[in-house]
Amino acid sequence: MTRRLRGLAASTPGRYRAWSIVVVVTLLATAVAGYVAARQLADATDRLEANTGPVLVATQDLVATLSEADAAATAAFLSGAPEDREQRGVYEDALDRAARQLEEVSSLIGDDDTTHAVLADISVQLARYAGLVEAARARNLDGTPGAEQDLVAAVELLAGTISEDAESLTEATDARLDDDDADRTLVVLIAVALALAAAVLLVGAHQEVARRSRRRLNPALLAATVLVVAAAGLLLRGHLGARAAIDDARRDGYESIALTAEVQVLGQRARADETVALIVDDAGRRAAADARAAELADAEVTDEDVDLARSGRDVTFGGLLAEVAQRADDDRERAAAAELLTRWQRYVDTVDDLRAAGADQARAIAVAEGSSTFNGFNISVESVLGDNRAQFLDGLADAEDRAAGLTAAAVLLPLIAGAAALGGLQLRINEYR
Amino acid sequence: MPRPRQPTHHLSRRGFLGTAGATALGLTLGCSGGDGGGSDLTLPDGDGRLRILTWPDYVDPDTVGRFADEALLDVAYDENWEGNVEGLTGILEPTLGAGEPTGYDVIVPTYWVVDRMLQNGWLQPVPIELVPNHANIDAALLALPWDRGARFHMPWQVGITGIATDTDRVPVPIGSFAELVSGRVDGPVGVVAEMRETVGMLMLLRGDDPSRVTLPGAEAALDDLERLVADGTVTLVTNDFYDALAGGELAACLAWSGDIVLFQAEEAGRNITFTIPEEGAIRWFDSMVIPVEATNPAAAAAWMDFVYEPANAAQITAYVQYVSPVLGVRDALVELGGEAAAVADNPLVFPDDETARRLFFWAGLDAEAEQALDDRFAEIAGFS
Repeated sequence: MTRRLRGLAASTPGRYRAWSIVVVVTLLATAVAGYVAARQLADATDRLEANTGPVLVATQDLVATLSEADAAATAAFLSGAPEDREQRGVYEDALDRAARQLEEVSSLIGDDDTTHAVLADISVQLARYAGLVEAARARNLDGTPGAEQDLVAAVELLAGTISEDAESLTEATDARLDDDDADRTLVVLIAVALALAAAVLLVGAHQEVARRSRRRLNPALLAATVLVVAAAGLLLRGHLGARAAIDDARRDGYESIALTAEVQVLGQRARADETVALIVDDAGRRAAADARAAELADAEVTDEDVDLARSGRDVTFGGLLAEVAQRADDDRERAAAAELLTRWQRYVDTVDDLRAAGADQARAIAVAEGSSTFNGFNISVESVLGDNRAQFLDGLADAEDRAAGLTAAAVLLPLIAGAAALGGLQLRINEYR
Repeated sequence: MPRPRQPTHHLSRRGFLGTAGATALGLTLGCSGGDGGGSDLTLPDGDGRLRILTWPDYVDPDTVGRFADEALLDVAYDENWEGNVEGLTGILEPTLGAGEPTGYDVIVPTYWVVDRMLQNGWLQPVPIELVPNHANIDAALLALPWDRGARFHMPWQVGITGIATDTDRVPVPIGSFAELVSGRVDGPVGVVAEMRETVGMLMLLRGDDPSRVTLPGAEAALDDLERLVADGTVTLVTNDFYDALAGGELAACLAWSGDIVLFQAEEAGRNITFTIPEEGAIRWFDSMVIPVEATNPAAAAAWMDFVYEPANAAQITAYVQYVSPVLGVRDALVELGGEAAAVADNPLVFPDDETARRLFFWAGLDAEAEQALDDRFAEIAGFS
């Protein structure tokens, strides 16, 4: 091959042919590398936007829904007979929603056997949980003994086995996100390096032709150079843009979703613990409720804190709610975070009231103000979650947009450049015939 | 057969309290630039002007003026929303449906119209960054499936549809809906011309839950209504129950809590009682929304925030005597003292927990199904 090239280089047309071969081979390699890089980027952003993102959102929703069902079931139980229809409705809706979310996650995860097994186990345990709740309800409404034990067993099932399954589901979906979001910079850099190498060769070919033909300008070679540099630029820009969009989506969207969902689950478990503590008069449960509440806010949320959160400044207490307030990055998000703080403190105040009251009155407070203030908090969390979700999915859609069309450009531009270079050199070769 | 009347939600009250209502409107507009009437206002012309479209006589005489003074805004308070169906077909569909602005910054329809507007993309989100008092919305009104978190609306007032009895004609107040439609009431019986409330009550009578409404359940209730109208048990389907009770056309009927509370304060209403039926009652609410293309959403937000301040909301509650959606109103009423403080003890304005458990929101179906139910209801009532 080297000998043939050397042979070719012995004459001017031969040298032109040698340049043609080297340039075209490099441009073909650039097209192939560009295709691989752009395809990988497009596939990853497609998967993120159409699959991994929705799975993550649905998984977080499922975890929150299960906690919501639990908090509502215990509150409905506490209301006695006639039971609190609103809480019972919240429980039934949450259970229906959980079933739909399980189906949704199942349909989105493809042939991931491990995750399907986890989903199947959650379904089975959820049916057991619902059975226990129904048994507790029936006994509670009839006034037959054993109702409280059934309810506590249900709460423990959810807090134990089902929560562990849900956590492993979250870990699996987190891993999918990491996999889709794996750094593909090396492939892109190879494609860009090849494109730049092709550009250097084209400049070299242009100089050679200019020197030998005494024509300063070869428009075809010039166009080929511009095209291949444009291909490198587009690829680099698309890659960096998509990466930035994914990073933004993860930072502003997904990490916020995870944080807010954690706030929701902790709040709901704190409430479930408080309710069970009221039913079985269990100081341990009460302490657990306090511990969960302290994870959310380790001190009273004052009006001043609400104002600070609204204006984007640091609040005076610590905990996950403070983090939610800190993460809010525009006026609307800050307003939603401030409302969340207000509604959480209202719930905490109600808990203080019911603990200070006698047993019967405490139950009445828990059923009325307790349910109302907690629902207010819970729906405020949902609003914040909704904003986070929209930001996450918008970010992924943005990443997909940036990667869209890149494959065609990464392949076509080097190929057109190759054709132009070949044409430009062939014109000079033809002059020797 | 019933003598049908077109639905005129709240108009009955305005008609009965004609003088008071006219005074209220005059004062309001005087404070807001003296346009002199509610129906001939020009289109909004940008910042500094807020246009509100709402039901007649649905705010106390001072609140709009105080807001206008405090916010330094020119407020055009238009009380020509006189029915949801009329408002939807006569105002919203011709404007928003055609991509045109309504000319209003705030509209106050009943919740099912808000749901419809949201489904049609006719609403813009409430700018909660300008409404700190959004945190004062009662949680029960945040959990609606069509707008969880109330991101697109802020409830104005909540009403209860229960049973009004003229005890001059029926000495023992009617305590259940079953009794009302039993055919044994000594005098003419009416139901409200709001499909969701009357059909919701009939669903409760059948043991169905209107907060989990299904199309077959609602259709079965409509079959019942058709039978009740045909056999003369129900003689009037109207929202003008105020005049009908006062004029002796009705002995008992479904009616709205706030209207009856005010009616009771009048000479003609002394013998009218209001009962939450044993089966339960239908709860409804009207809600403030900002339509798309509103000229001044910031002013709309300022108004929403103002009326969600408990002290201001208490002023409105003391006047309209409906259930307030604003947390903290009860304490604020007590602080106001006098007649306002007495409202804090009114079980129809502040239902106790046991009563609250028997109140149902109509859950709603998709727009097509609801339209079919509306059409059949109108046909049975003789409106179409």
